Amino acid sequence: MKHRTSAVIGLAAAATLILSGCTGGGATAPESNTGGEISGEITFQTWSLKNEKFTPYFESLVKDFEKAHPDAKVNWIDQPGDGYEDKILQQAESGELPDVINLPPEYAYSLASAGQLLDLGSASKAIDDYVPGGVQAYEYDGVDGSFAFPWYLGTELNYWNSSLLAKGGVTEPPATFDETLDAAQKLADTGVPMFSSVPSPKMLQIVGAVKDIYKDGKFVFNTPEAAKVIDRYAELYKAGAVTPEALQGAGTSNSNINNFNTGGVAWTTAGPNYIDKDVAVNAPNLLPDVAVTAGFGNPPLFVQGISVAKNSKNAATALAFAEFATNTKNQIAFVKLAAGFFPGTIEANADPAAFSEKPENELQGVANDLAGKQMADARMTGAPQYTEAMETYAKQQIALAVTGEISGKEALDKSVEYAQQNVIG
Amino acid sequence: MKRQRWFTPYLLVLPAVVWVLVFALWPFLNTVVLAFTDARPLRPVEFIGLENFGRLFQDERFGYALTTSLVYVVVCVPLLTFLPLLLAMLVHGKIPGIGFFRTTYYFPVIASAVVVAIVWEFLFSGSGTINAALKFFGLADRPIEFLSDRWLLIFCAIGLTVWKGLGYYMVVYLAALGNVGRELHEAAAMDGAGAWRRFWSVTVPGVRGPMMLVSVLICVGAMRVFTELYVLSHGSGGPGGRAMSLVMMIQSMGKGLNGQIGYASAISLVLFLLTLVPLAVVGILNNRDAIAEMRATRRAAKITRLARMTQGAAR
Repeated sequence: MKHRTSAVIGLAAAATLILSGCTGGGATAPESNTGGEISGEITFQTWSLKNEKFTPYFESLVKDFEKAHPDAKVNWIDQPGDGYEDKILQQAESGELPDVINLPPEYAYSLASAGQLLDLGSASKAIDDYVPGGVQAYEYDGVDGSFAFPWYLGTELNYWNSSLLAKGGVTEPPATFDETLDAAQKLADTGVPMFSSVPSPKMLQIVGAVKDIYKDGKFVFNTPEAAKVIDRYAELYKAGAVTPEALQGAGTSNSNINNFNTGGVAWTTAGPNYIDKDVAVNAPNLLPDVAVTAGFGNPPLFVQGISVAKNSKNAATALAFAEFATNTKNQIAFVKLAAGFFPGTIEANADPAAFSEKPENELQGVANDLAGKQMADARMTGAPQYTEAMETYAKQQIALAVTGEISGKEALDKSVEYAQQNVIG
Repeated sequence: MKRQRWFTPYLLVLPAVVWVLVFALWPFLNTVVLAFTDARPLRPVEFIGLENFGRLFQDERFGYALTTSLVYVVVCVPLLTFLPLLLAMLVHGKIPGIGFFRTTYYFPVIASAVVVAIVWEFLFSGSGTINAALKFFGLADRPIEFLSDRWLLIFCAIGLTVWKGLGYYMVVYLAALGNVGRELHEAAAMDGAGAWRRFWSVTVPGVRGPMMLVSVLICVGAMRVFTELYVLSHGSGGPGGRAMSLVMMIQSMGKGLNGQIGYASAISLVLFLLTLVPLAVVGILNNRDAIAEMRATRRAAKITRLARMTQGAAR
């Protein structure tokens, strides 16, 4: 019996030791040599960009690079939009992170803090060529280095349904978020909802109710101003200015644009290419009623970057390709296709006429101008430490506050507490 | 013909054994171990003992998730145990065109759960068909929050599960009803038993075995509900995440580059233990039946023996 017990304990211990290796285990990748020859095979991964529109661009990009560096070969792979984060995690866990990879700042933070990305700030002389806001998006407190070349940038504008606003006696689109809340009350009195989403800490940052999400090692988005906005939403919800879908989707997807397109709500935010690419295609009858204005207070800056894996076997080639894909010429060619976005280099942004697409609708021209002007003030929302799970939790609590079950302050305090407990060390 | 070697049977079962070890036992053991760690992707793992389980008791979302899953079980088990039986009795008879009804009732089973959930979302959302109809007939001024109120959302999801499961369990009962002798019903009818009495005294005992199986399957399935609640709440679990199920919570905690794998594993382990409960109950009930049957056999044997002894003594 004793032998059997010992054997079971031994087996359990062995299994424990072996299985504990299954989580990935935090091994930091060895530093690669980026000063070598530009040769060998590398993998370049994009995110949901293999389609009729972009495939010829990437094939040509790869061809041009291989022509300039005959000993190098680039394998371009594209991953679907859904589950991209999980795919990256799987690749990183199995030590197969692509050599050159398209990453948003949040994903890059997770990989950089686990030592999986190359510090481009020290490896490349080109880092100063990129727009500072974009570079800063990939520099993180507590992790030394810059972890991506800014590739393309975006922002958001406000879109209004003038016809629905007029029903509530609002003749001009609101210029501030406070005015929007007042207008929402007027619209609700006539049975027209204004919102189909609940505010999130990131949204509260855009409208100026939150200054910082994370500062000096603490989450600080539970401001009195933010609580006030949420409480106001609760009143508006009772009045009918917020649709039930706003609560249904609390924490995850935002169906604001869909509801706006069907004439269900009077306000939405969307990218600068929304008119030509969405409204004109999916809701052409709505087009005459749509008005566009600049984003509120602190317009958001969205950044996509190109990173290099730290354990790349052909690091010199990977770095050269990342620089090549994000140089001014190639970025301009890319954003010409990705209308509504802005390139990531300082030089490319100096002349917007070089990449702006000719608008199909007059209103699209207005949106382009507004977005161009807004980019100077746009800034990143959130913080690298503020994860998607934290944002989801906060939106769930805020949704509860909107129903009136808890106060805005309670919702924010709980969200801050949750974020603090789950911060990645 | 060559003589079979001793290891031939083992070779034959080897693929199945490897499959079970790699895809069932290994992930299970991995989950058990991870439940006692602070595992997160790409980071070193440390054993933290029972800390994750202690955290569960302080996490109000776990309380909500557990409640949702248990409510799901409590409501789904009786509904999905008896409604398909009634349905099976309706389509059991041999009348012209009955195949059409059987097929129709089975349709929801073959439809993808996600697709069905999306259809239900169209029906029940704020701007959905039901709310539009209520508004049209002047029965509601503003949309009813079917999918954003905690309990309405849970019951909408339960409705979906029941609707989708009816056909499947109906087929199980249809097979079982074939084994309930028609002569028993006729005898009961001749003794004056009405339809209700025949249902309880003849049909139900006749399908007792399949009924037990069905209720266990429903119980385990209901405990592990995910798709219905996930799709209907757009993955949010409703305001405050209060309509989240245990599996939804595991998914939301464990996914992504910052997933809390250790904590999610602890919840998985709790869920596993909870799903063992119905199995244990069925085991006990089956055991009780077996014991009762054994006792009855012994009693009969004893009576026979006594009768023989009495006859012997009389001679």
